Amino acid sequence: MTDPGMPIGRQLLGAADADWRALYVDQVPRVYNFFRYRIGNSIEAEDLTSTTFEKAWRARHRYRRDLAAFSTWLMTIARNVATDHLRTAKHHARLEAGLYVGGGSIPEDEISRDSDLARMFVLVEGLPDRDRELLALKFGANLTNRSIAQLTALSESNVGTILHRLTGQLRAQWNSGEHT
Amino acid sequence: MNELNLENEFLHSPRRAPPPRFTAALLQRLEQQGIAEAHRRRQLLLRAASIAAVFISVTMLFAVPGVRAATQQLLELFRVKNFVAVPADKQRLEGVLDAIDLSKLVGENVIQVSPRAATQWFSTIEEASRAAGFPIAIPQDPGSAYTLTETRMLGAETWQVTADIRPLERLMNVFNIEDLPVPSGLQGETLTFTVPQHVRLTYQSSGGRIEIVQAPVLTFNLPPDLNLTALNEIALRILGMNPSEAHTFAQAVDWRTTLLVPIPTSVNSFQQVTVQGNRGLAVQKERREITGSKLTLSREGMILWTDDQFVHVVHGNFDVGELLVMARSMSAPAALR
Repeated sequence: MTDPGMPIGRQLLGAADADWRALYVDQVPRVYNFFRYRIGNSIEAEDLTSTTFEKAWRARHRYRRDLAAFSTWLMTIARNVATDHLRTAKHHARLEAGLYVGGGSIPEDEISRDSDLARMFVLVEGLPDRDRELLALKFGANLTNRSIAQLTALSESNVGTILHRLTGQLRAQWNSGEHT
Repeated sequence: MNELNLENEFLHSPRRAPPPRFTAALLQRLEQQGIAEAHRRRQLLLRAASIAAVFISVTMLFAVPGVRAATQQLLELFRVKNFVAVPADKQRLEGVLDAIDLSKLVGENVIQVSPRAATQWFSTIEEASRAAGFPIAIPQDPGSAYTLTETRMLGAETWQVTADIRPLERLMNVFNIEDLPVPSGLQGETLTFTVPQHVRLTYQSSGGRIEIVQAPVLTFNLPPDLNLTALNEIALRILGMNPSEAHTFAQAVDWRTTLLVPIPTSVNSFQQVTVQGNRGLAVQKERREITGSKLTLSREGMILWTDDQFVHVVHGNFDVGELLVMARSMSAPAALR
């Protein structure tokens, strides 16, 4: 038997070396609003946003810059968190503007946005899960059709077509007062 | 198609900024996790070094049988001369290091025959050498920036372990290692080993702290037919090496003179180095943190080597190049030899 005697050299770099704070500041609103649109509840959106970032932090060494943009990688984690949540949730908690009454001073525009969310959520509740997710990615996370296509394995044109159909349908319902 | 469409304002309007208190709390939690992880990584690295320095490897823990008093078998001396570094996934390594905590691994089959003597502190290297019974190597040219602040000796302790291969088999099941048999003849055998007393020196400078460990080489008495190659192949697989590599690697090493050192993959680099003609390992971990416009660089390095009689560790928050210069300058003062 012989000793191996082989020189060993190795460099390991990952997202641990990335500017984590800057990425966090940039991506939190996107992830948070994705969950608000997906789940329809701001409190649960906070919990799921926390879960997403904690998972991303723990997995940061596996992030490969050559494979995906950080936002795409992060949104993949967020989608999986949402899927797990929806699978186990017994019901979707809908945000009611009235829940905030008596909870301290809430800015009027926040109540208004939460109320809008609740009304919108009523409209989308009956849609297939895929369509609801596309809406959350587009209008909640504010992603481009191209980014959505990368996440969902749909073609970019397919994403555009689906969203065009959905927004037309929802707009008609909104204007007709079907959300009330 | 316009992606910004005023007709869809009702779909954009519910979007809002996350509450500031939520954002700040989450960031603080993540940063504290990072600090906690960095601390755990430091502890992991130092613990791995300490473990190597006192020669408790996964292989040795499961490589049991000692002298059979009744049969007086001919024994071979096992003396560690070399280290071989193997990268190990952090989670796997934490799992394995937990597993080789004796009290967890083999349960009530572990007996501390003699407890570790109380740590002793000394004012001079000479006093520590006399107490330890061996000359202590110190850096001959640490530089005026370094001050020796602590000289202490950690006492020896003796343990007796009765081998139980079932935890090893469970560990192998956890990592889906189903194709390797545990070498036969281990179950129920007793191993007695002594962790030798060893010396730790602490040097301080304005740049940080360096710890130097020196421990006598441990010798085991092992039956000549014990299949160390098979046991180390299992260890390599537990640490995450793929089956083909583990098999080839295990066959290539003389395990009777070589100790396997798991290196967390969270470190930036490790390489083989030479210290005073002896083969050793250099491990470096760096971390860059940006807070606002400020870049903070923190380093941790370790040099680990053995000569004929002792294992040496030089560890500190410095570049391994600096630690290597210090290691290569180490020798016992003439009066102590």
